[in-house]
Amino acid sequence: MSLQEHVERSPYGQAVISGLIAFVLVAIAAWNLPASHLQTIASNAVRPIVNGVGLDQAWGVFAPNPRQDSIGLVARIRYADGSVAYWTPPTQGRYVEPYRSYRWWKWVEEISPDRSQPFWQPAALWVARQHRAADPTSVTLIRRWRDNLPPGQKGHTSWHQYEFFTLDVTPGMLR
Amino acid sequence: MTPRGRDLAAGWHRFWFAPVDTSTLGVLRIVTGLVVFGWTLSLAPDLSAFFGPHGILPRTPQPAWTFSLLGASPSMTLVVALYCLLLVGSLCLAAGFGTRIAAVAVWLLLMSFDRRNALILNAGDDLLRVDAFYLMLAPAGAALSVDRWLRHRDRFWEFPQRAPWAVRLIQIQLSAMYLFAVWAKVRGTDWNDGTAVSYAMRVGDLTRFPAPHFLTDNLTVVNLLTYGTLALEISLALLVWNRRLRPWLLLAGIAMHLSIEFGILVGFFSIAVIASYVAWVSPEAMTRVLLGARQRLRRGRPVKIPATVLPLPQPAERPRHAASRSLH
Repeated sequence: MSLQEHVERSPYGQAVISGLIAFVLVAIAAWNLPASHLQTIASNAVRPIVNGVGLDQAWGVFAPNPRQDSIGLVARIRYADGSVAYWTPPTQGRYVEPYRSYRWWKWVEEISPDRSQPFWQPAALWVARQHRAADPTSVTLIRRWRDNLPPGQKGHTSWHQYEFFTLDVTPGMLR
Repeated sequence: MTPRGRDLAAGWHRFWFAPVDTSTLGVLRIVTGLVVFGWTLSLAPDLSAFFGPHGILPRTPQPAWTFSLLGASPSMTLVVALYCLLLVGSLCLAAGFGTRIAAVAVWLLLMSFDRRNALILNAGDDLLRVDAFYLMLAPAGAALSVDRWLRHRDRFWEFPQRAPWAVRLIQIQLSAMYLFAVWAKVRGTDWNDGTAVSYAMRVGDLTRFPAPHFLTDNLTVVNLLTYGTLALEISLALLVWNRRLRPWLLLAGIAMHLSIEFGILVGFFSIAVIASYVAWVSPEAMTRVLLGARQRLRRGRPVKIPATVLPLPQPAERPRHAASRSLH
């Protein structure tokens, strides 16, 4: 009989496992309650263990409302010779590629809002490094979006775009 | 203890600890290991961009009480080393080879990569990590594993009975996932006015195959799909505990997740959910299915007869072309 089997069969072992089960059930509830005073108290109480073992979770997929717009990100790279190139995240393909590209879409969704300012400089620098062979001098991040019309009205607005961050690149940054 | 207290304690014990076949756990381990392997493979092209010291997130803001073997800003050597470990660990988990160590490694490494860059995660990644935690606590190598084959080769097709508490936690986790998903949805406006599915299917950056217009623009159809999704999700949270309804609800759930998978870029979410549904298959049914499949496979296989009892073919019975070949 294995050690685990021995523990699972003994009354003391079952008591310990029951405690663990009870904790997990409370943790799941505490983590998922709607934002409230109770949720704050409960989630703070279980946070050290929940974060420590990776039980933190969020199941609000397309909730409370699905996004009503389509978004995109373009980086404009200017080179020392005056030429310009555009970079978009690797998000093409419909079959195998989506199992890779969903992460890039998630990243675009996460870094586009104004609250994500700390992530803009590293993103622009990473794009510059991808083009270091051509001697880039600046990278501008451009947010693109279009609004989807309510169902029945067929379609969406035209694309809008907004340049939200520019990084002036020096050779030292590309090392 | 009062009689009611005794009943409650007995019910708790029966639910979590009454031993059951480990057939369901074995299949759950295999499919989870394979999904994690696929998840890990899909990271390969972007390892440096997502996790490297010169990537899109060179330094991770570490939330309190979290940890990652990758640290806040790892070297590429460490990233590649842990990546290879996760590949090997997920395969070992699927095969059931050194199962406990593999399960702990998979949980630890999934969490490490998740914590290193949370900007790229969706609910499917959360579910894989949470499932890995529960699986690590279970005797996942007890059946259908290389470990079992090495220890009890002659009794490989037996499924030793063990306490199912870890699999129960996965069942409850799935119920909770649907329950809280519905809770989050009904707090919005679009799920209440019945238009949410139309918007979800038209988010251009998340569309894999564009939905036909009658699914997104016909208000009656859109309302039916939106309220139907809510109804199915709440049923998957609560009514799935009813044994009679369970198979039908799981089939409907699989259909829903496959249609999401077809139309919307959700990464590993649908695959991870469908893989987790294995936890809902009763151990008796899973044992029956596995032994039935084994029986069918054996029937199709040629029967081994020792060479000494086989009659030697007579020269006249040899095919003509064989004889002519031997003449040259």
